[in-house]
Amino acid sequence: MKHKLRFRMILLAALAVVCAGAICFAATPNTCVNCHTNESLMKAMYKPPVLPPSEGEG
Amino acid sequence: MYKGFVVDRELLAKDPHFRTGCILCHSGDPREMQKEKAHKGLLKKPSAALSSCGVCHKEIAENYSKSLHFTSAGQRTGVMPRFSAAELKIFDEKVFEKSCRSCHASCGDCHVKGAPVDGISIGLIAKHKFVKKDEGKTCAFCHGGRVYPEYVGEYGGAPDVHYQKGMLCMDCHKKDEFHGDGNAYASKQHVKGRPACANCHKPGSETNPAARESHETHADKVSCFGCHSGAAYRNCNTCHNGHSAASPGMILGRSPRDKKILTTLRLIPTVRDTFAPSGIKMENYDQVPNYWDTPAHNIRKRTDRTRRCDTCHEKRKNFLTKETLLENGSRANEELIFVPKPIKQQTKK
Repeated sequence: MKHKLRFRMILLAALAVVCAGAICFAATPNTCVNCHTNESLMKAMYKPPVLPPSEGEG
Repeated sequence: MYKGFVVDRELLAKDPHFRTGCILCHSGDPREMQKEKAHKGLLKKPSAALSSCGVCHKEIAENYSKSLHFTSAGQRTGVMPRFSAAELKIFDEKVFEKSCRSCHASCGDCHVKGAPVDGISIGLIAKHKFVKKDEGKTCAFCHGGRVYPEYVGEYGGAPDVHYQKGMLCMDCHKKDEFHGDGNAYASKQHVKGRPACANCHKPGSETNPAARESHETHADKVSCFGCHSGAAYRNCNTCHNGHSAASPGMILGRSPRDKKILTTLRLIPTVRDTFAPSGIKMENYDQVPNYWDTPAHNIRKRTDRTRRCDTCHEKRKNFLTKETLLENGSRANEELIFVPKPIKQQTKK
């Protein structure tokens, strides 16, 4: 009984850590996510690379 | 191409790789609104340092640090017999790390974002999902100059029969071949557990008696590719340093690694002045031929060589000859010429 209770406590604690991490990640202001999950914004900001003259690759 | 930078928001909640946020791997400043400021100190390729993935994937990262996809050692091994000791030193300092090794793959190149080739990349393979494999977006991109288009039939010949049966790269090339087994091999020829036709196609299991007879007759004399390569494949005629020429062809000759075996050869792009811009003349250029044995990835069950014995034994079709040798090529090329014995009778298939 004691062992079962301890096991459940450890499981709950681990779950709490995982949830806290996810919440923190979601709550923290994050321009990385705001920009890179916005397809229209990526399309507007994207600049094709300027390539040197080249005839081929491997 | 902008889609290559778009991340799937749903992944952020589900995938454990995102639990600690973006900056742990990528650095940068997520508080800044302007791109240039947000990207200050940005690590575009965090997995180039294997330690980043190695935090959780320790054994894989340790093995991979010695694998050929990471070290590109095979390229060095292939060319270095042409160098003197002094030239090898110059090559190591000026050429290998900056040029050849730029092709080495990080973890992310296979699992997250396609590797750039000549500045072009497909971007994120699946919106920043960490994929186990996606050969059409990874293998195909880096090996898209020769092997992959041969395999899928984009190079003009029929596709490889294995491709037609629904097999892709990793059906034969297992993940241990890429991740490595902890051994630092000098080249792919030394890697244990490489694909071999006989792994699936056991000699003696043929249902066609003529095929079994032919296999027995040519065992240890002709490679599988020698008879079953289905069409011409790409041969590269000059170096890739700003100028290159590739032309199709099938070349049959002695394997430079085992001259008792007749096989498909591929012209490789190392000519006498390949490394001249770095001050390397290649003093031992003629020690190594310009043709390597190649496992042409365009296999067909039936070819002109399996149908008629005289294709090789009388017509000598596609065989390397003195007349077809690369102009101003290595003197070692002549050792690869093979003249098959004429035979009187043909085996009907």
